[in-house]
Amino acid sequence: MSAPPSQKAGRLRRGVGQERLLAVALSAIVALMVLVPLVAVFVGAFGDEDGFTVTALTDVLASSRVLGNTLTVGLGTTILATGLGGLLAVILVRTDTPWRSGLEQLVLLPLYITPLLTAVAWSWLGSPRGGLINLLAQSALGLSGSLVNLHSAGGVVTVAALAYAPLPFLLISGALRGMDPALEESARVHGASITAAFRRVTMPLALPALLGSALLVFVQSLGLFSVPAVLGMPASFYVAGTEIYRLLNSYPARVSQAAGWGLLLLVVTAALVALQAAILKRRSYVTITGKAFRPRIVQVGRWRPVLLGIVLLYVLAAVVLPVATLCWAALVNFITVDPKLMSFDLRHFAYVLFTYPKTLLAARNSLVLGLLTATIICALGLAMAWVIVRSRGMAARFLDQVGMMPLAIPPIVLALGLLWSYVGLSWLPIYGTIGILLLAYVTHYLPFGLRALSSAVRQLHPELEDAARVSGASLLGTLRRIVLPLTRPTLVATWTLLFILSLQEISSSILLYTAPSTVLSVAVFDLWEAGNVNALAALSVMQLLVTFAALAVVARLRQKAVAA
Amino acid sequence: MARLNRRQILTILSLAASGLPARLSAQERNAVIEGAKREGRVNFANSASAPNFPQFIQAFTARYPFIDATTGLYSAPAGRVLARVDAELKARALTFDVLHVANLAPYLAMSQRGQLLGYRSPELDAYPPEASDRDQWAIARIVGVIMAYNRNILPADKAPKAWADLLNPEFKGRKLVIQDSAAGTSFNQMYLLEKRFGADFMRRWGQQEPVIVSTAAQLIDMLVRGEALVGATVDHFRAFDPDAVKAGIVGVYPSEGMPLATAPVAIFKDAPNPNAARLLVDFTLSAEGQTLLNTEIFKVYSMRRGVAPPAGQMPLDQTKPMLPQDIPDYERASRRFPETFDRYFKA
Repeated sequence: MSAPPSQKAGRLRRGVGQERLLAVALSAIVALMVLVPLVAVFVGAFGDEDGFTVTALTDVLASSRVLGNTLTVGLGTTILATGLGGLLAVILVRTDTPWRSGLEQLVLLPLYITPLLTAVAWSWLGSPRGGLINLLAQSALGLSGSLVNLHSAGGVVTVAALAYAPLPFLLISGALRGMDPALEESARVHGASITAAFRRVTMPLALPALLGSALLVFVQSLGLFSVPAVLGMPASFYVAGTEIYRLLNSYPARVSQAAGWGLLLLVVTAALVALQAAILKRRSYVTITGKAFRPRIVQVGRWRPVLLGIVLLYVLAAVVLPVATLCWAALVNFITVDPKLMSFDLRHFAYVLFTYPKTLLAARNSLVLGLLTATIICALGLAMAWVIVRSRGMAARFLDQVGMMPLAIPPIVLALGLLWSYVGLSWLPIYGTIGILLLAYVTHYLPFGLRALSSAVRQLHPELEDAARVSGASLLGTLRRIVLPLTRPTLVATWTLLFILSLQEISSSILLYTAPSTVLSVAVFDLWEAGNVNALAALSVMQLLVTFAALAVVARLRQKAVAA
Repeated sequence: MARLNRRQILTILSLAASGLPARLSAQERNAVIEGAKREGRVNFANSASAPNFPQFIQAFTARYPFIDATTGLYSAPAGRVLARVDAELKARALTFDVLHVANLAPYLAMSQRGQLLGYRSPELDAYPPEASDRDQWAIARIVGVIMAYNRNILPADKAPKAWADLLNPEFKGRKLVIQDSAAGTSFNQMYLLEKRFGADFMRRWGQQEPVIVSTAAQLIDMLVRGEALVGATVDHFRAFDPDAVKAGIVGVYPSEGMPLATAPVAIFKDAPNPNAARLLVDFTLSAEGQTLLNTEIFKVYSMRRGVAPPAGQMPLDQTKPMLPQDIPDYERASRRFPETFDRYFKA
């Protein structure tokens, strides 16, 4: 027997009260996570032992070379990665290039290889005098100079673009799949050529995805640390990320200047986010809907091998060569191209497993952090997404805006703020534990989870939840019994991505770790700084094995879920 | 800067040696051991990045199996270690117990600020009084800074013989490689060479556009791979490492002298595990610890009597060792060093 209407109305009212409570609680949590470190960076940039000062900011603005380098890397990486990702998306979504489905999986693999490892591998391959490519070219072709030089601005941009291209690929391929093919067809019917239809219809419709991915890459590359640390510093090519690291890791540390750099990066990225919003507001893109379309496949004829070659070349440069180089370096006695001097064994694996004291601790911490980060973001992100999608209040708008803010905060800047916020906080003693790293990871990756889960919640009809609430389910019960099961596929995919991203994180970890809270990426970086390159390779290979094993497990689970 | 003999070196290292406090009685010694057992761990911040440094920790743990010295082991370039220590000290949130980096200057500053624990290790009886200062710190390693090149890339007759040779035109344009300001040995070398040759020498050295790397290990790697011709800030022991020698690296003791960087060991006044820290300092300064650390692992010079000098290297007093003479000036210069370094090499 159903409840009388007055009882139903009462339950819905109580539900609204619970929603508000949830929204306020989530807003408070997110505000603490995101705004506290930002305030700390702001205070750090304008204050020193003598009080208020703008010296740090003026010093930063006077560093024209580092500013120029940062901009070069930011713009260069963005243009190259977005162009590459867009091209790969067009090839694999809109053309009849062979093996598209398999290639799509391969193109996404760089997401799971930390840029630090790609940079280290490419440093061995492409350093100007001792790089393996140059040595091989010299012995095979008799060249006296260098064929490639990746210890340069161009090297930093190229390797960063290889590492980040999957992000634009994901967003742009999604947009291309979501487009109604009828729009292009009508352009063709009215006499437009394939290229004209692409230029006038497809490209403008993909603009939000293009801009969104360009912005994402720009923010990531503006605060880039590992790639310029490996490839730029040997060429005295410093960018903001390496400059912050350098300023904080010299004695005495130049804290205000580091904060000045952090603040500058924040201001630039915030301005760009606002600019992107303004550009997208001017036009309507409602033709891109959530409805599933089968994209129109263009027959490219004799260009098929060329397009296939482009995709394979990317996979070779971004995955095969770096991973093969790391595997080789992990097994060879020392790095040489002379076959007479080479011997292969497992001694470097034995070293990192049984002698290097950080391996087991770092592996344990990384796994714990990966599990916790992914789980917390999925829980928090799902609750936030639900409030944002289902509520219309101020708290929902606040959550939406503040929850996405970390996207505009370079991780090294976030780490600066967290370090200064929590290092002396006795009532919340997370400094010196993995707690502060967990806070950094959850804050940094929250937008990734929030965006994915918001899309999933939007696809659920609210009637299902209303029915549960009217039948007496509490808010948490509704979330647990209705929303959670229906968003499970997205949750599993998001959880996996977050787990893997957490395993790779270096930019904030390097500033926040202490001995007991060291993580795998820091252990790899330490081995690189200590010049222990073969051990670095062995540890990297082990890190990659864990990552790919996690991917395989999730793929298996998905297959089972589909079969069921 | 005058040439110094071993006695003078030790005398200069004695900055303010004062009266020796009484040694621990057997009962106090037992109390330290019992305290260390209760603490169960020691947090050791150091710039000892040699691949086989874990052997030292393993030997310490073998001696004191009730102390976990691995979980709290923080090994990084001196700059990163000191920046982290400094941040924790300022926030009164110290997690470290023992500090060991190759730069005396921060110990002087911390000692002045009362941040180090006075502890006279019984092992100091085997050291000259100049090896420690008011029992705040004791010198556990002495590292010299020299030049090096790869004989497979650069013929011996073209290699530099003196610091002044670094200014030769053939070494301009990314042919030299130096360590960044974060390295402790880098500060000592730059300070001493600036005092000896003047600011103009440093400016001209900077104008040679050397490649700057983070650590001494990366510097040797650059030489091995032929990415640079001459290493100009080489921790001496790295040039004589068997693997480096096999790869063609040749160490050069500059004719004007070898700047020295001393690497003290000290306990923080607010160390969370002061008893375990005392045992770690004792072990570091012991005959076993010094032989392991200096003769076997790092192959550097020890101040402990009876510890063999590094095999195959020049005895310390024949290297024309260079040390700071105006200690207050040395300490002041260390506080400005990152800016000074940037002015010469990153302008």
